[in-house]
Amino acid sequence: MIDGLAFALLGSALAIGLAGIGSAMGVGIAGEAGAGVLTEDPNKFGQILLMQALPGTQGIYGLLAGFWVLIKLGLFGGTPVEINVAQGLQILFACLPVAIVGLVSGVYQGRTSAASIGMIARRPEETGRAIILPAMVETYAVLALLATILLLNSIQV
Amino acid sequence: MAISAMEKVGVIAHHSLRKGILDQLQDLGVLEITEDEKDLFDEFVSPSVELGELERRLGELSYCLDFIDKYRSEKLGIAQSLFPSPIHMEKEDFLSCSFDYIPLYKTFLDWEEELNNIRSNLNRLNSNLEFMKKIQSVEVPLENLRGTLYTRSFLLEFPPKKKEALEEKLKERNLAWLREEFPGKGGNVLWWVIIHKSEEEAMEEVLAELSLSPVSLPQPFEGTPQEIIEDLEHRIGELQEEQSKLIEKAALQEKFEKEFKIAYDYYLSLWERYQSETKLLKTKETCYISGWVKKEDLPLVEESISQVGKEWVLYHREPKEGESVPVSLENNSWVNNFSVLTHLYGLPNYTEIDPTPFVAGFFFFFFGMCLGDVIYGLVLALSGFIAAACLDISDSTKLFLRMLAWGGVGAILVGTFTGSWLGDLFDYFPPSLSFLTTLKNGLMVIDPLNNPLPMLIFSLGVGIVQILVGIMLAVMKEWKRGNYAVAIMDHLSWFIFLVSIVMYIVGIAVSPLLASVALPIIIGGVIFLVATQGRHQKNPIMKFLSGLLSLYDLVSYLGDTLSYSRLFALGLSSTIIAILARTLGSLFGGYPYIGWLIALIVALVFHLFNLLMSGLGAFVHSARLQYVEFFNKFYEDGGKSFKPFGYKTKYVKIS
Repeated sequence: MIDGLAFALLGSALAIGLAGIGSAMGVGIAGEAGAGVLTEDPNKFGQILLMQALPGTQGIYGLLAGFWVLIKLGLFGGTPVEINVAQGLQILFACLPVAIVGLVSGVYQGRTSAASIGMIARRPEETGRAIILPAMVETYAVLALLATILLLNSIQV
Repeated sequence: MAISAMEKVGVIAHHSLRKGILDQLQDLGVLEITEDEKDLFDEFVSPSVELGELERRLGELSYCLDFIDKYRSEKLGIAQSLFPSPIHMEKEDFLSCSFDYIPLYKTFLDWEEELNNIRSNLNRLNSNLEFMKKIQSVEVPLENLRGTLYTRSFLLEFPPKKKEALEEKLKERNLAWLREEFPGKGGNVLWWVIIHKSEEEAMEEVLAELSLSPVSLPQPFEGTPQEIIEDLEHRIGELQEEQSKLIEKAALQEKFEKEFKIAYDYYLSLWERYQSETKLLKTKETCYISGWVKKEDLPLVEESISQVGKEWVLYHREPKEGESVPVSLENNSWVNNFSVLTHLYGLPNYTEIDPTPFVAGFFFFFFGMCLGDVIYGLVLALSGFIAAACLDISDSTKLFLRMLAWGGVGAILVGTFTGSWLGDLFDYFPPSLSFLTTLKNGLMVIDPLNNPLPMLIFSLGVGIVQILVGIMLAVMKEWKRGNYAVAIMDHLSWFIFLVSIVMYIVGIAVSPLLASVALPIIIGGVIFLVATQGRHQKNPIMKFLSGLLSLYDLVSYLGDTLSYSRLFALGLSSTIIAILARTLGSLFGGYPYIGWLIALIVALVFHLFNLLMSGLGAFVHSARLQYVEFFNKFYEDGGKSFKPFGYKTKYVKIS
């Protein structure tokens, strides 16, 4: 028999997993572009590393949401809470915003980062603006995280 | 306000004073020389030294610096290559630079060429060696491959399964041939084949049928492969030794790096000097220097020129309308820490408002909300202030570090307010430290972990404040320019409208009286906006429609406000990751003996990671809120920065 816990854990796993995949892909895309620039000019390592790190936040947001679920369920150093199927499903759905948006926005932020890395390679004085462009994409991951937090907070267990 | 007032200066002087005046001005470093007003005269001063010559020297010096960098024995760390320490020098020492770099430059060129030769020789020898190792087992001297008067000999390499077919075919044709077999590499066999000269063609046909071809040597060799290999290895060893000796010698040249850098900057400032000279205009007897200077520095310019001689006149005037005036920002030292943000976005026009004081306050607070933890803030603030005070780095890097440090101070404030001290670590202190827990809880105003809504509303409230400040700045700007209608109808009306909407929403939640006061203002605002926003249209119906349409801007204000919810989300995120660090660490805490150590290390690594990522996020998102949500209300960039004529240096800091 499936109890609510399984659904809740699925939600937590999706949040951590999908958002993590999005970040991994994004950081990967940015890293490929960065490695190309570094072969030409190794002195830009600091700036490039910064740009590569930018799409890494989705994974953190996912981890955060998943962790929040675990705290809520009392699985982390508390007394485990009994939840029914309906509550489990509620938690699962609450996790979806950060999971889905994290996956997709991570990839797109990675692409924007890669483009910005190209911009830094040609015009190093524009680093400041180059950082802002990928941050525009991240807005939606932050909003999704916000939605997940508020949704989770509204579920009574 | 905080954009320095500029004056346009023109100096007409006798030619004999030109050099002296330029020397004085470069020394002073307050005047940006421009080459406008060309219509006054039509001849330019040609520089006394070829600029091309200086550019060649700069090129040679940067070649030398690259050479040193390439062969230096210890590579620079990231910190050093990111924040190089400047070379401090007295002005007199700098200007009397007499480093004769040419002999070293020539040596470097020679070495580089020698190294390149060695490298290409090594490549060739290594590929020969590789070839020889393939046929190492052949015991016949390779010069015999050429053949004799009546014979031809060649070497074949093929897989053993072709052996029978080959033997059969050769038998079929009844050729006179001789062979010796040696084991080859990769399971192949090697045949040394000798045939009579007259049967060469028949042999080639046989080989073609079996799609085999004789092994061809990359170059003629003498001796057996084994002998050749020994010889090659010996020569490679010699070359490698020579190479490492040269590289060692090259690495020693690091000691001249400082001299090269000083010489580079010396020629760079000379170049700047003569480059400026090309911007001067001249007549037969006089030359004309024009440029921009900060109003307060004007007496300095006059005083320094008067030291040179008497044959000059200076006039100055205020900038004309539409003239592109260079911009220099002037703020008090606290605000100045944040000026890097304005520079990153782009400087304001000369006639604009300098946003830095507002950006400084908001960024300080926003960064604090995003990082949102007392201990993280403390670490960031301490390391930032200490690094800025103690490290020998450029001034702009110091400003940046101090900006981050002040962000850390913001985080201390906000963290106290939300009760985040390394997440919830302080709740787990042993009873002996319980006073700290009491202190933490006593100072906490909002607990976003258990009740996130108040903090979210607070974030949006902060956002509304910034948006309203932005609109107010637009009102002030238009008012100052005399566009009273635009100021009142386009900006002030929105300001009042938005304030009344906020009042109404707050009123619904708190006091019905406030709501009932706000409602008529909202209705008035709507009517006013519909009535005025269509004033550019001629047709009365279009006037009404475009007025109505302008209310749609409310959506964009709403979007802007919601965007500030990130302050809450990011702040909560760093707190929760901090809790995660504590929880993960405590999982190991129960292990015997070294459990506490593992717990400490795990927690520390996680906290460090969180500090770095949350710090990055706090910087990026706080800056974004300034640029996207705040600046679009009033700000126009496009100013060019004020670059006074002085000693332009890359490595040296002149004192």
